[in-house]
Amino acid sequence: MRLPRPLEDLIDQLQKLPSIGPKTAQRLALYILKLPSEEARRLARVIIDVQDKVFPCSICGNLTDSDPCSICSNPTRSINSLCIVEEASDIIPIERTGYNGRYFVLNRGFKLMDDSDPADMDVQPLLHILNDGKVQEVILALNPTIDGEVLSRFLATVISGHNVKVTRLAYGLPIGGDIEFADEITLRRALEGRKEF
Amino acid sequence: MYYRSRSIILRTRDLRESDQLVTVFTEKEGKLTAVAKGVKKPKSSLRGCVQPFCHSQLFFSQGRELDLITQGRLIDFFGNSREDLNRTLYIMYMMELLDKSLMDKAPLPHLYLSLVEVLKLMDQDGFNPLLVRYFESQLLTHLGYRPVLDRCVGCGSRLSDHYTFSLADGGLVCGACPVGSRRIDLRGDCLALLRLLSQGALPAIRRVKVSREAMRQLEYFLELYLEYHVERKFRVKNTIRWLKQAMPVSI
Repeated sequence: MRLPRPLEDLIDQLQKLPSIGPKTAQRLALYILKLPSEEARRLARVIIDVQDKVFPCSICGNLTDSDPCSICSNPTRSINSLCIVEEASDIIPIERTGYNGRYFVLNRGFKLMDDSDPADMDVQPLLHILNDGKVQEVILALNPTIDGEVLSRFLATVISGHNVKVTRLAYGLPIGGDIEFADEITLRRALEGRKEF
Repeated sequence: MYYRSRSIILRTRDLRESDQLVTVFTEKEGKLTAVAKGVKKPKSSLRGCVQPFCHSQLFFSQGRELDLITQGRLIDFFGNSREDLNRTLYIMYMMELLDKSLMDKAPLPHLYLSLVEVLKLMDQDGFNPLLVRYFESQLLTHLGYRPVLDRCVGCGSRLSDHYTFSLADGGLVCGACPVGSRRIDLRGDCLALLRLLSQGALPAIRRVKVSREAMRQLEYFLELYLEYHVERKFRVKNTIRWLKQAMPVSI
């Protein structure tokens, strides 16, 4: 059966979203069609707004609707510590810990086996922040994977000429995890970083 | 249907929120890609055994399109290699070689055993570039591209002092036979090493002392030969080269 052209167009567009297949796209399109007119318009408006109004902060790369972002322009946050993360979404869990320093978002992953190269990474904005001389510690908060490890080492080398302390997040057992299923590196690092009771 | 096999994890790719697509080289089934559900969650019991280049006993459930990894038991994590960036990068290169050159579900148990042996030696003894070259040579043999090194690949005659290696023909060519443009003039010590590698004598390979020039030509030759016959570019090798220039102290 041939669907009306606008509905087919909507299904085609929804199908382009990650992890949305043809069936889900069709279900979502029919759901949108049944929405009250005002809600459908609001949905369309926020999609346009997010494209028009959200952009990376010119200082740290965090997603923002005002430049500089709320973190960079907050005078109560420490400028001595800079936390490097891969994606803006990584800031949210770190903020929940009470960390009060600044961030630098790479906005670009590195995959050893894919078509990505650390050489393509733009580290100039990071060097620009470090050149100010106010940062005393850089925290590498990248994923504890092989790709994250390679990228951390590369960034540590890039930063090494700036006379700042470079640290990385510790490895350890997750709360609620099971020692039986932990790999030997995690356990080895957890043993190294053990604390007196 | 359920099945299980000892496996080496070649690569992982994110799938949905917390799942991963895991490409593994299994002893019984060859290379295959399966879904590991929930492995990105911190409490996942599967997570430890589906990390790249882990040696694990995996249990699979056959699916309509992709199989599902239902359980796993870690056999070896190769922790020493994982702590050393140089070893990690070269092992990832070997994983890429397998990922890009093997056909799906074509079992190669002898190649699997060679891989496990190389990974164990690398973990115990530290980095030895000859182990990587040995693995490349084993891969070529199992793919059916073992270079002909004992006679002329054109006329079958015994080789004299004048010979060259033809990439297209996959072997040495004597002075009397025509050779195409894709040719390499191999050094004598490099040829001796190649012969040793293709015999697969791992204990002798571990002991042998090699000059820097011979090792460089051997690496160059095997890279060229693999790329010519597998018809793929291997990215990790280029990344290693770039990283060695960018951070010579760390690697």
